Amino acid sequence: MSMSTITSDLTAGGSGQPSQEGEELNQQALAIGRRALNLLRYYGLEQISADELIAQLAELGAQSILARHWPLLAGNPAYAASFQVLQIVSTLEVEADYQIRTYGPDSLHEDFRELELAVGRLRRAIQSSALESARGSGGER
Amino acid sequence: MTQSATDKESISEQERFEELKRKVREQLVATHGPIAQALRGVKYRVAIFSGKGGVGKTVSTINLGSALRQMGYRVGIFDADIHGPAVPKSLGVLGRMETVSEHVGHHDLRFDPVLSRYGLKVVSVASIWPGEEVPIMWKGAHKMRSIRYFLSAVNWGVLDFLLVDLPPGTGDEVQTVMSSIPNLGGMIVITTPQGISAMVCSKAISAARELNAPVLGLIENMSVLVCPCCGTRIQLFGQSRGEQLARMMEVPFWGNIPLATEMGECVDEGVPVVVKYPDAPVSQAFRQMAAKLLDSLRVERPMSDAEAEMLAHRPRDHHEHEHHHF
Repeated sequence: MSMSTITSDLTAGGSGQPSQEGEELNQQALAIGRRALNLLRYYGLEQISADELIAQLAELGAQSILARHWPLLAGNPAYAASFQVLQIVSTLEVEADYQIRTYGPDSLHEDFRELELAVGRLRRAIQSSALESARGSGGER
Repeated sequence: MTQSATDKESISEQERFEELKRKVREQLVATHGPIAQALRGVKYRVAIFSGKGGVGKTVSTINLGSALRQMGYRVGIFDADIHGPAVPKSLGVLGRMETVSEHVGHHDLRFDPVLSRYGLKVVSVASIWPGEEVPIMWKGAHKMRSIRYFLSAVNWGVLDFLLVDLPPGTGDEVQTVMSSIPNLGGMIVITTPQGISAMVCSKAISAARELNAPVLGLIENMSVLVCPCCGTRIQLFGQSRGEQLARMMEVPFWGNIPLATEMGECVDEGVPVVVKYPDAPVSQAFRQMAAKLLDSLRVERPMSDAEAEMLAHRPRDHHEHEHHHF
């Protein structure tokens, strides 16, 4: 599957533009993903402790966003990119403590890479959607 | 010299204290942590695993679960195979898991399992995933977190049995389930007649023992095909080795499940074979396996409504501890 196919599919139902709720969801997921990456970076650089990492991940509210937009997210490939970002962050929020105790602090390096990729995909999806929207508006003139 | 000895003694005491703290914490988490709380209404927790893929774990799990359901037990199935979640489709479960908010504005995300047509509660990543065409490319610790997250975030309610359909092998997912589910009743091993399956299964049984997970029994699936026309017994996958394997590994051998021509149709339709063809030899075999499971766990009868009601209203203990101070 090519990237253009993936990104063009990441709109409401694979056709048309994201709804207003969808756009809000994508932006919130992107913001949460970026902040989570910063937190993981600070933790990796030992600028914050594990307890601080977990507390600040919880403050990002990934679970709340998932709960609020669940009808839009679940089973909808159009929002797969947002779902992936929010899913990574919400599981970190709940289980980072167990993960660090069981596998050690270095185990978060892989999560950082995975989240970085997921945020990248989401960012490209949002940009692609914005481009489509601009083309669509241009075509109507 | 004395100073050094004192320092060493102090360090040693500190290490012992940290070790004690760690053990106490582990015990508390095991008895009062989020997973323990989520599973507090589940009486028996049993995992189904094998050494290799393609032996029929999922089909065995759903039919075992359905056979138990037919006997009146409350059954849930957790599909722990993240990459190839097949339980929902095999049970005809098409809906998604819905979120439930226990408290308005609370950030905890909780899910209700999906109820199959035949009364089984089902939890699977397939029931929340954005789409069948979107690959699940989770790695390493992310998979473990997600399995634990599912275990703790689902409203399992009151169940006689939670059956966990594990992915093949003895990797992280299997180890996570074995170590994360408190009071795990045991493991059921599924093998097939081939020598390669027996070899890999023996490793899986050894792995379970290393992780202190009791092995309840071994089942040999796809043992024989009985020709529907002439009744000739055909050992499609070679001579049966299940009993020999069980003897060698000192685990109870629960018996053989025959190949069934009806099975493919049942899986595609999402109907357990014990439901669609209850009199078929394969269905009888699954019911016998269910009886073996009940026997091995000394289960006499399903929970009564009164017992279930009591378990359902047992409060989540936010502050309750077995000991107050250490």
